[in-house]
Amino acid sequence: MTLAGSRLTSIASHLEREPRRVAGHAARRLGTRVLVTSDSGRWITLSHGEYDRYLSGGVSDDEPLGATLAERGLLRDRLDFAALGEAFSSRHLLRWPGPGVHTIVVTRRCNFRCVYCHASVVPEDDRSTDMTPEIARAAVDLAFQSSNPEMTIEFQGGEPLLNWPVVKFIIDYARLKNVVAGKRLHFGLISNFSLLDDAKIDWLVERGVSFCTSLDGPADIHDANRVYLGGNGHASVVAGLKAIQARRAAGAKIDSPNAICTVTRLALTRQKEIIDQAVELGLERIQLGPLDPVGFARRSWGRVGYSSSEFVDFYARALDYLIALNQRGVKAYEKTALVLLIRILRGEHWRFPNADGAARLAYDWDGGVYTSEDGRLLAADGDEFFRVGEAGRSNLAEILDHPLVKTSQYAALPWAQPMCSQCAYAPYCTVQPVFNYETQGSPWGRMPVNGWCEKMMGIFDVLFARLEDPAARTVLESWLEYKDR
Amino acid sequence: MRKSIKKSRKILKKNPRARKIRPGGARASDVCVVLDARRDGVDEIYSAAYLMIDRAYVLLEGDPKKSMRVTLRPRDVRTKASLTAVRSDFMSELAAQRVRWSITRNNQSIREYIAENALSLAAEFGARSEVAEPSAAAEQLTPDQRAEIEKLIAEVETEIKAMNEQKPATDPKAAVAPWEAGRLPGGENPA
Repeated sequence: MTLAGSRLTSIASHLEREPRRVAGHAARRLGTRVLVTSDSGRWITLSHGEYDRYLSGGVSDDEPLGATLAERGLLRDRLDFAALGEAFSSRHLLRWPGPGVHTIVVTRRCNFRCVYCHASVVPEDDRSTDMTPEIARAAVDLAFQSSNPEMTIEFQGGEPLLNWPVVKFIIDYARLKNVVAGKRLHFGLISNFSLLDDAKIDWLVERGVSFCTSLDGPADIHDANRVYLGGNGHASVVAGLKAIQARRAAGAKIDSPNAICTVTRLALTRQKEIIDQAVELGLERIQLGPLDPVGFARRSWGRVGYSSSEFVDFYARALDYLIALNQRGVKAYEKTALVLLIRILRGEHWRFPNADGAARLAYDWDGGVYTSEDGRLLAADGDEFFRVGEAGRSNLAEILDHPLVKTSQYAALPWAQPMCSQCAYAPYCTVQPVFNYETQGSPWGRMPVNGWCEKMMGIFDVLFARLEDPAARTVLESWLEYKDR
Repeated sequence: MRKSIKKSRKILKKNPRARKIRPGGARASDVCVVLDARRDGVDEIYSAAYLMIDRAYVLLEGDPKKSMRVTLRPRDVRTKASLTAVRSDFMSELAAQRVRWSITRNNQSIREYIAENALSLAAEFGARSEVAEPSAAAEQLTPDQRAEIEKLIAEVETEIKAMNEQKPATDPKAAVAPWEAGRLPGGENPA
């Protein structure tokens, strides 16, 4: 017997007898199936009849279903404790070696005025928020205290190229330090590309810097969202992407550039054009990012915002289109889907997990250190809640021991969240403490009325439904290859 | 106490609708469910109530060791149908919670055992890889590398000085001015 109910969905409401053989798991109705996920993230979909039989202890070891349930850690008397311990450790980052992503804001100046921008930018000629070389050096020194053997330094803004000398200094200084530290060191430039010229591209390519930008869709959408004070925003980003792709075609050893599409209301029916444009530009990675009613976007929400279900509908159509293109031989993937598929199908993380403070830190122009870039953005809007240290004054051990880092970890733990602890998607999902704090006044939030949760559940529903379709699953599984590149 | 009863009577006289206010603030147009906490389970009641907050305002009262009353006030328009739906939803959630909590309790000791094992593995790992001492990497730099860093800093300072001496970017087309600021009275756009 199944029932209608909350977003968590109701499951069978009766147990015929004590479920002695039923291992810890969460279940979710998915159309005519029930998704069952184990604590370690292994999963299976069952018919409602099979699930009822499983719950009432009616599945025997001799039948194929019994063997499958045992193999996925769903039978209590046939658990592989070593594997479960390993999965628990990996999922909760118990052996995570420290922050690996370090986002550095070299200036808050920007030459764009995006309708949804969170970044509380300052005018282009106001250099009061430019990071100085001394602070830049202190930020890099602090980042290098992490014992993580892999490290990524990302440049954010404002528009980071407006403080180009400090971008160059950080890269050269970090490379020099790394001669001793010997980490696998990566750099990423997140820029609107309007100031990216050939000389800068060459300098960055020579040092293996990855490029990331925003491309919100065809010119009419992009330019409506991202107002460039000095020219044509869409033309400049397309020119930048083409120039980088030309370097790659000529043999430069850099990643394919990433162009994030922040989905606004204008884009909700334009998924085909958005994807076609990315494919035409030779972008393998397509990232469809939802807009959240936080920061500056809250003020323009009436013009550009939408409901979570509207986004999920858009996402489903976009994913189906991309899957269809893949079936016709196009090589491209959607990044959020891939990040989640890596967790769902492999039980691993994409490069770095999203764990505020423990896996990533953000450094503002003045040296302020935050648990994440979102926490830093909140500070730019006047709320320093997620500030956990200062480059040049704090050391990493103090920062990792900061109550806010611990709070962020605890809030992100599904077992500490009443609804997440019962959610079938908990093994693959991440709670966002900054989003919760900003929208609901607490790092824990209230999941039944949490917009992030609603969107994530919708995206998971879309993915698991596609995984039930063999043809779509083949395409989605093929995307896992991109992780290994 | 006498004073508060007198006050209540006064209110009732002035506002007959207030008669519908029940103990604990519940109104006749709310859904009230009284549950036996020992039979229905406190965790189950709390969890089911929590899941209702997207559809209703929820008030929990009573003694968690004996009896609890759950008052549900629909968030949207309160009609007879919406009250019935909210009651039905809550009872469904409560039924599903019995299953979820039964599974949780049956597996609690196993989960604790797995978590303990994982934590002891992590403790071993932590002992092997302490957070590096501050500036350890910088301290190991050779004199040549230190000189290179000093050179980099001197270069960046020179570049920044030159950048600061540049005049602010000109804006002949007044593109920097916000659209609203550039509009003339009557809605005519000067551009």
